Amino acid sequence: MWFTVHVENFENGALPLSGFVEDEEGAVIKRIDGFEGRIPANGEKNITFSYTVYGVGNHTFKVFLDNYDSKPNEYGAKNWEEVKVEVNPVNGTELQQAGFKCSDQRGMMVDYTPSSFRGLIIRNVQQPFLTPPSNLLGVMWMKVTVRYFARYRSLVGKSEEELEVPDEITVGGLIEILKERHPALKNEVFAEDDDLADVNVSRNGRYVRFDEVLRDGDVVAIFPPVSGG
Amino acid sequence: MLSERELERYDRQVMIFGREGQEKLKNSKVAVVGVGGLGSPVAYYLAAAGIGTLLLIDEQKPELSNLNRQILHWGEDLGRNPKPISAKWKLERFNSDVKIETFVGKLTAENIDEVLDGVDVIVDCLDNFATRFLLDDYAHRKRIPLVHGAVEGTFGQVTTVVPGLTKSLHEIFGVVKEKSGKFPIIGATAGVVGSIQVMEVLKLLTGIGEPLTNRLLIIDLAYNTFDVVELR
Repeated sequence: MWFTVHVENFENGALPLSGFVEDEEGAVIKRIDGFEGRIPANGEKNITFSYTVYGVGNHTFKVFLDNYDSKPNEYGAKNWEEVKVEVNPVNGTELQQAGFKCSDQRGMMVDYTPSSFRGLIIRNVQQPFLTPPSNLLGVMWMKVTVRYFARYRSLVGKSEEELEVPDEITVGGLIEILKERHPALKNEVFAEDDDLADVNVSRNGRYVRFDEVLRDGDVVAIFPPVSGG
Repeated sequence: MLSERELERYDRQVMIFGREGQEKLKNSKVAVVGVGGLGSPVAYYLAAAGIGTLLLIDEQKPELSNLNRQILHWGEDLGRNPKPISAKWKLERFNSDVKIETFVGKLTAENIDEVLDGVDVIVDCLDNFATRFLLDDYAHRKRIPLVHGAVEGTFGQVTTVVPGLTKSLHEIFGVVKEKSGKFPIIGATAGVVGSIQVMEVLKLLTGIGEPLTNRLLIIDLAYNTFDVVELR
């Protein structure tokens, strides 16, 4: 799967960063420093890398970042953030590795918790999809059409758009991408602690749940239930 | 039996329902829960169609800001007659062959069995999901069809819940976050959605056409979009 560490710099000078991402056993799977860790003035950057996650169950990854000033950052001096990755079997079958391929593939659920730092915001945005082992197979992309209804249409400013998204993405994963793509949706529709309960989704005209896996060419519609009378 | 007067009154729709269908409407009792933006056109058209008994339920009195959409309530009713009474007065003068029953009060888990006793179809014209889920539970316990409608701004949605055949409102909408405070609404939006709800009731009672069972109609009148989503 692919991880993206999204960093933003609100200062008028470039910020050097130093840090790393570690897995649940504390092993460093990615270092962030040097040119890659440098954020231009008033700029932002996505630092993306791929890592193969093995094993059905929950996996936790942590990103540690500091801006070299050795001072505590805001919000309780916390300078790390974690993301949980859940690998699920499909139809009750365990993933079975055969050569470089898996017998089954499936999306994953992710926690999405942005947090603020002094001078920069670090959000461990992850591309919420999983094609194990993706770094061997290569990431496949597909096209889906997203249709917006009612209030969503007004917020996004158009009725539909075609998006290129990672193969095998779930409805929940797509929603995460839409939130990134359209901040208006994130701010006005999905609150910080929103568990997506207030969003209804259809895939090719059928009502679906958030764990539904999408296919190339799908038409996904999102609509908010209205409640007035 | 339909009187000569009724046969003449309903002549144009007996061409669709037949005398038998019109008799079914006359022998039916339909509850309109919420007599506001949706409830006004719903009660009005159900009375026009010759439903035998209408039960109107609401606990509020009309306010001035209701009148852009709640067309059964007039200036003279403001702050005086509770909505079911206000509506009853007009509907009885509109069609004296329809019996109008009223319940002025809020539906609760305690009173719902008594209030809705003997109803053949429930029309959801409410403005909150808490009471909708109460109706949903009752409909499933008593196995009575429930026609759901809701509006906001230029948007609306309609689906017909038939216990045993379709998903429940709980299953369709899950945990809906209630928006507190006033929401924007245009009267004509409620008119369109309410009219569609009435068509659902007439289809359920007479058997013509196909109701929106296991399907959710989503409309946006700002852009004239009508979409039907399969709920199965």
